[in-house]
Amino acid sequence: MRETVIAILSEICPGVDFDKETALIDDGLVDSLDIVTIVTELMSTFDVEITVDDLQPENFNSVDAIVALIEAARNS
Amino acid sequence: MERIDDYAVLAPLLSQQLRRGVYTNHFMAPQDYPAALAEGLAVEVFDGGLWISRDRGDHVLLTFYLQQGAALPMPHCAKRAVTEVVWREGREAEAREALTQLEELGWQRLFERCRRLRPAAPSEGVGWESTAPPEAVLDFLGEHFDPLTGCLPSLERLRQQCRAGEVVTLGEGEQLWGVLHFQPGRTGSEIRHLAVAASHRGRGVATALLEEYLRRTGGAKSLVWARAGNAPAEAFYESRGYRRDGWRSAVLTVDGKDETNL
Repeated sequence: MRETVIAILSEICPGVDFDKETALIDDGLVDSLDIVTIVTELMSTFDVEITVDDLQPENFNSVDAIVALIEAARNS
Repeated sequence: MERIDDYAVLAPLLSQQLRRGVYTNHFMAPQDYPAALAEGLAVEVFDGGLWISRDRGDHVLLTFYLQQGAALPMPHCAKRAVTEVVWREGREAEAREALTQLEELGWQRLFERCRRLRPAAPSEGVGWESTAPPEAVLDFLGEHFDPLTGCLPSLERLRQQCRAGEVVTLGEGEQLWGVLHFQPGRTGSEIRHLAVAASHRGRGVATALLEEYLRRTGGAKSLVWARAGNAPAEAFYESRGYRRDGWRSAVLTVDGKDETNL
């Protein structure tokens, strides 16, 4: 799952070392304006429901946080 | 448009729009909705999307979700409406499609804006308190920015921001020479308004305001949207370390249609 998430992020925001970064939103590597695009790609790829309540910047600061969001959505 | 007062009603409507290929210029975080609902928020659901309207007194600020392949209808607004289509350069296909549809509906493109970023960098200075009354600041902003497209804050909001130190002013009493109004974010801030009175241009007022703003924000990352083609503003920011970061937008407007007599 991690590699797929990185591939999605790299397509939307090229040139970022997603494997290591842990402050993607806070450091501006991923813009908050990108979050809807990222979310809709994640929902489609992993077949999960993510709601507007999940559109919190802290859920998108790292690949690990995004993976946790997807896993929470799968278990909800 | 249907007025919404309860986030619990709004949230599912927004969540339904989160589908692959959707274009949106609606970028609010969940914690921003209580204030927006209190100020007046309405929605209009259509086949393949959603209009969201926020009341701004004599006009409304519209945002929307547009699903891939859907057609954007003219929203039912009694007041003049403004919207801003935003895109990241290199990924503008959906935004361009939305722009085309808006213009075909009769929306008028007023201008485009580019975003610039100044990375975090140390900032020094002695600093000063800004004691200008919020009413004078709002009058000043009203004189220097279009009430339709200038995103002017409400007086109440400006009072809060003056108390929080988010308004930097230079002047004597209520006679203002320049104002810089900013919005803090999680790890940086955004300049929302910067203007200098015509009588005081060329005297370093804008530079002094910017330096004080950077001091107050601890030299944190700073963003600013400047009108494309406004050479003096672009040169000012470029010479102070701001660089285009790839985000661009187009601001459009359309007249309202009062349908109460139809």
